[in-house]
Amino acid sequence: MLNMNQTIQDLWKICEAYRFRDKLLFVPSYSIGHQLGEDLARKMGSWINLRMTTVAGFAQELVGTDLSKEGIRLIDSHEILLIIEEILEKDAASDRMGVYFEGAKDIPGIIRCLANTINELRMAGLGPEDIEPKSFLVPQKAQEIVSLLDTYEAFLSETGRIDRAGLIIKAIQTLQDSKPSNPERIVMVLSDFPLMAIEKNLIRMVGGEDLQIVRHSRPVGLDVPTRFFKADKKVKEEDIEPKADIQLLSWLNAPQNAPLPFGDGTVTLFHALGESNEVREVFRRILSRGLTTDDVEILVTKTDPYVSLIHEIASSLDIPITFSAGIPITYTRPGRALMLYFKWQAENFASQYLQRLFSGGYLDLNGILSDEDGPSPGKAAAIIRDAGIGWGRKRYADRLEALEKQYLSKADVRRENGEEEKAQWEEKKAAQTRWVLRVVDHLLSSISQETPEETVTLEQVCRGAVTFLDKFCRVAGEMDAVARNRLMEVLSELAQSPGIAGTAGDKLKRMIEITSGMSIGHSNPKPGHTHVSHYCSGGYSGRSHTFVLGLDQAKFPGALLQDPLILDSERTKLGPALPLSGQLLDENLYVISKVLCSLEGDVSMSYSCRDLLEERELFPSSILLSAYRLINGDREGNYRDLRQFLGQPAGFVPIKNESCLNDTEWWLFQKDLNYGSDSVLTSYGHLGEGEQAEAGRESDLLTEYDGWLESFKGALDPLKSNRAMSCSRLEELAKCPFAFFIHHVLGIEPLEDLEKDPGRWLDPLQRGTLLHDVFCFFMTELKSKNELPDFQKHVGLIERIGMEEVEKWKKTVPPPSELTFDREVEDIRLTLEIFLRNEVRRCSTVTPEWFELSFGISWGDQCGEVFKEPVEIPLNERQSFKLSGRIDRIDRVGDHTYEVWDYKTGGSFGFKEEGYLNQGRHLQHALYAIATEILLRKTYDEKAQVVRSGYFFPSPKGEGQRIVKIQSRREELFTAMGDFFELFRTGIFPATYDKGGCRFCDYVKVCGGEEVAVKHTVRKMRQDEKMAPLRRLKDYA
Amino acid sequence: MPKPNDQTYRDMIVQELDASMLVEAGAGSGKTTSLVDRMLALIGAGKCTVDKMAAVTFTRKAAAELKGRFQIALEDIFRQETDEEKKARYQTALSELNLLFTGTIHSFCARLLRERPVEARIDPDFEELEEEENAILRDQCWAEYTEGLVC
Repeated sequence: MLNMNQTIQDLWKICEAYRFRDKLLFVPSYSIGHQLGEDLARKMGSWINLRMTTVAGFAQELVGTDLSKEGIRLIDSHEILLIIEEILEKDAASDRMGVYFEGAKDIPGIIRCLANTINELRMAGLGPEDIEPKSFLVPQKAQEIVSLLDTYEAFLSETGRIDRAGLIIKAIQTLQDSKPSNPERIVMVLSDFPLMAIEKNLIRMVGGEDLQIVRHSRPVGLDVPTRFFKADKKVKEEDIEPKADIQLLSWLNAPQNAPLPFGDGTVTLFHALGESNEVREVFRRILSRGLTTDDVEILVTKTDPYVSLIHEIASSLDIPITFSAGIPITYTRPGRALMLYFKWQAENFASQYLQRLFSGGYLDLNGILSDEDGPSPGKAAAIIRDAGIGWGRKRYADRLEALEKQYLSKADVRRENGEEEKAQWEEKKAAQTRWVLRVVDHLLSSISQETPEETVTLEQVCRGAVTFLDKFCRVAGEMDAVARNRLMEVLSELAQSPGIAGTAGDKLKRMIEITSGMSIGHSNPKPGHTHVSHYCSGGYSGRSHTFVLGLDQAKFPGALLQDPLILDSERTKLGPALPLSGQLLDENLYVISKVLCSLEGDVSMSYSCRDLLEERELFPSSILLSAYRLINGDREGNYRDLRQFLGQPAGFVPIKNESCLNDTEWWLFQKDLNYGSDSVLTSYGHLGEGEQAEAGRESDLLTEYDGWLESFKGALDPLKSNRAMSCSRLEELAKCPFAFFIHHVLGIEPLEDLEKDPGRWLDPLQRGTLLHDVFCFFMTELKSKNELPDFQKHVGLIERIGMEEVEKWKKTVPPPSELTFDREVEDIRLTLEIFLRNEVRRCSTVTPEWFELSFGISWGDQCGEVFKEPVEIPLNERQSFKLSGRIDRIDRVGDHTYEVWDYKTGGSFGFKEEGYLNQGRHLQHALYAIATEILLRKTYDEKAQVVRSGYFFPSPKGEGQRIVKIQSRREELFTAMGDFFELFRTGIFPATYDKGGCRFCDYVKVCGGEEVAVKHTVRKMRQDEKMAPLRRLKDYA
Repeated sequence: MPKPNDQTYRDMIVQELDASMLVEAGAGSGKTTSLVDRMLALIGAGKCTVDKMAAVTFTRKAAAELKGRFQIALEDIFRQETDEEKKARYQTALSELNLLFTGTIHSFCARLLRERPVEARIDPDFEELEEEENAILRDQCWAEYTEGLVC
């Protein structure tokens, strides 16, 4: 019987026969060579004078010194891509671009295909003279490919560069010109991997007629693919005498001819719900079977998502893993940092990326600001957000300086008010802002362009990135250091690439594409580590336990897709050197079959039967059906039989106690355990508390989980505390006491990043502030001139003031586009016109007196009258509360009689003529009327009386409407205020009873919104007497 | 078992191999079976090879199931076939089964575009847009377009 691993057996025979002769073995990679050497020594015995090499490695050895002397540099695939891009750009710029590929220079995927084609043609040994235009469906395409190939080769030659194909061709030429250096040497090549024509030529030249082709375990029923070396002596089917199920895998492609199964469990199959559970199940099986982790190799059919899943799951379980193809560089800190750095530039310095660079802890600034104590990374990110930068390189300095000034001015006010500690705190924030500004300055100094549209060279982009990695990027651990060095190395190489300039945005996109596709940490199998490989480079470790993942129809053998530039029919005409799409699929099938039939020990084959993201079923590859037929003996079994055989898929819940990977899986495994049982609730205290909260909310009485803060009793009572209230806060309380509590008592606000919204410049609050300021400035100026509004006379004035304010806001908030800006400015102009026309009519009967009169508001840019102290509003003879606010407008309507108006710059939805307090949600008109009377009586008019208040909607949306509220229901207001204060006094802050109230609320995620909290409130309002004040508030019309 | 009353049409599906055909029938009436039979007939008659065949379905699930059923049916017919010429054709089809296209109309079109990106002026690495992404992109495009009109 033959050893099932034919490769090891053949190698051993040669090593024994020519023990002391020099032996050279061509392998697909050094890693595979290393694994074969180890396996050979482990299984067969010691060997000497055997050296493994790759085709490129051998060529480099042969001609590397000469190339170096001639100053020729070897380039990698990234650089080929950049050169092709360069050539296309130059052709397009000089109108030399052919008609077929016209426009291709703007499509990155096609440039990549062209680079692949050029490389493939050269590796196939096909030069411009071998490409006949008539072989192509579109001859023009062939002509343009030939032209590109010519230009590319000339470019390499002129610029002292050589690619891999060139290196191999030069090695062949060297061999042709020289005598064999070591005629005694035994030259061998593995027969189980694909080679391109020039690679085969080189090996044949080195090996000559005595080239030894090392056989591999041949799958029965499959021909050796044409790109592989074929051994003269075939392994015959009848030579294989299987003694275990795993050896039946030789018949994977001809199960009908296979011997009967042994049923020894050396081949197992499973399916799982999603790839992550497939990976977990592998580790569960390793654990439950007590396998030695470094006797396991995991083979995957797709790197994505398996490598990342294995990396994540194994890391969380502390299982050491070696990855033959490494892990994506974006798993390391420098990799992620570089992506953010590139995206920051590519998206016009959008501040969100810089915030993430800070908050993610990606920056190490000790080298540049070592003598200064900066804020924490999170704080630095918050400063950038608070500065409201949005995007644009120039805005960083402007906005951060403005924020610094703001803190310093607050510090002055604090100090004036005798609040020294708070003043110092503001100064500290100013210093931290200055620190961030300095860091940003340093970072920006590594970047040459002002905008992504500006023209730069690739060298500038790469040099900037190298500086960033070298000076700013944090490195923690070995992997980070490796990643940073590798990135710096690649970027330095790319900096030497051809230097035609292009837009920074395009260059950055290309750099993101190149660097994000890199991986690091490629490793041979190591003691103590489970090894992970792609199946094409796997199966050489000689380990006893193999898991093959990803055997679903979509992943294996892959989709049949012709090369988009040289179609199969064209390839056929160009000769056998270029593989056809079908041949590539056949190669995949052959390689996996070869790997499976060379394994020893046991193997598990699996697939994910469900796409958990898209919620759809996935189907097994035909190879799994074959494996099922082999191990089950059911030679005609179909997919239904296979599914039945597989049983329940592996999911989130392990099926065996001993295979639970961690405590979460163990708890999930305890199927019979009641979720609410003592053991669960004792082990997970938070679950117990959650249960209690749920029960409390479900009850008919108000509980601490519904917003009843019994312990706060009295602490928030505005009648006892010295804190001033504002109308808007009280109205918020009436809308939803729970949201009020979170916002104003706990002080929690959603983070608001300034993000680019193509359709909006100012948000409603910003627009409102702008318009209020314009109205105030305009009316103040008219009053100072003692003029009444006149449309013809004053439309220019109000527009001028308006545009001045618009310009101020433009500096603070960058418009996303001129179009959006123009549209909003036009809307502002219309609003100003509506305002003016309305004022012309109104001022014929009333006299405008005060504008933006504020009281109890300590700072801010104020354009109107200012009273520093809040107004004391008496509720009755014994009680009063303090009110702060800003009254938009007070008009005199008669002797000692006044009207108070509030500008509303949005629509009038929710406001109506009838009614007075609107369930406590419209208090402002009534409270401002009282506050006005108090203020005027103290200062200007002892007999002042406010007879009417109202809301004025001057925007196009509000149609210039005025809603009037007669001020004759003070008793009702005071009774309602009593209910408000009772809520404060008793600490009752339940969610709203109004379903529509949750629509625009920021806190729905906290309370559950109308489906949860509102339902509870509605029920409890009926049942619990504590809710009486809220019930009464609801009744105020 | 009595023959179904539409047997004539069922026969046409596997016999009229040079004619294009539209088959409309209710669920469970055997459309997929007829389709598989027609595919087998085309191969057996030497009218078509699997690499020149496309079976387009409405859902991905149907496509995967169809592929599985076709494989099993092909294996069955290969075992039972006595005509040497036909048997050889079935054997070739089995060995080239990976070259058969079965998929949805979306995947069929995507494949055409990926194989002819230059003619289609499209990046072969394109991804289909999700609905939400589509809405965002539409807004962006509209903003850019209208801006272009003004400038």
